[in-house]
Amino acid sequence: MMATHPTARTYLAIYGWLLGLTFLEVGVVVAGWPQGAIVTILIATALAKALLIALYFMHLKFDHPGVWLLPGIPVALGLVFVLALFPDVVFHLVRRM
Amino acid sequence: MERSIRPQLESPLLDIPTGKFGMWVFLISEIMFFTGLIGSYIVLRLGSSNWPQPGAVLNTPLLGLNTLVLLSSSLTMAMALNAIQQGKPAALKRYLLLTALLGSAFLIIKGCDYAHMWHRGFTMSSSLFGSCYYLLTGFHGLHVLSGVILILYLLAAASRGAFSASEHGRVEYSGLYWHFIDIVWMILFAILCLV
Repeated sequence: MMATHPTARTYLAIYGWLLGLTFLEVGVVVAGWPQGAIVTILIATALAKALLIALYFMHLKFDHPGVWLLPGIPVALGLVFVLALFPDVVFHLVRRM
Repeated sequence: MERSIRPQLESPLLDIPTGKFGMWVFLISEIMFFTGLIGSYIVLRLGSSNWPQPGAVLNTPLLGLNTLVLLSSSLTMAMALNAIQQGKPAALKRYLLLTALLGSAFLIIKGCDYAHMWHRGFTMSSSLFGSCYYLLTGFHGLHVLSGVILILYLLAAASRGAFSASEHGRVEYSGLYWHFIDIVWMILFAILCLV
């Protein structure tokens, strides 16, 4: 399977989305939304931006599906790392209460 | 029977050139490196009772400007690849130069940010947040510097006519690295500078 690549128009459209999401991030912080909402929106927008860059600028959308495994495995291991340390965080939080 | 002719150097499992496969393997190590740092930051942050509000300490508008600069550099890098795929070496050189300039602008703004923070007493040893901030953004900055050097090398090669519509692997693989740096900053900007 030979990879095809996006057009300049697609790159510009993705750039527009990335700018929009960045302004949304800064907007919710400046507007002083509740902390829970800010954290949720910032995580969602950061993941959306990372996904857009990986899919279109890094061409993952147009590559062999197996290429997904290359970044997917270390990201999954990273999540395991954070989750494995979570009990320690909860323990410290509970001890302080 | 008609037989397709493929490039000799190609990863058979993933159907991508070995150069691209090699760059992804390198990026795996980079993902693990930054995941370790960011994961440690998240754990420290959640486990700390008196973490300062980033907006009160950091120069958020300046960091927001830096985000726009790096996003724009990702666009110019993607356009550079698009240009050489269409056989436009002059446009490739123009976009590579723009990418290098934007990457340098990012580093200069970051330097100004460091100087400003340092002057206000927010140093690496002033707090746990300070240590995390300088460590994460410092390592990211070093990666941006490496990326700028890589793009300048590409620009020099492009000036010698090393790339064409059929021969542009190095531009694509370097682009992967540059976009990865952009992704890391998108995550750092959200978790370090805004939350």
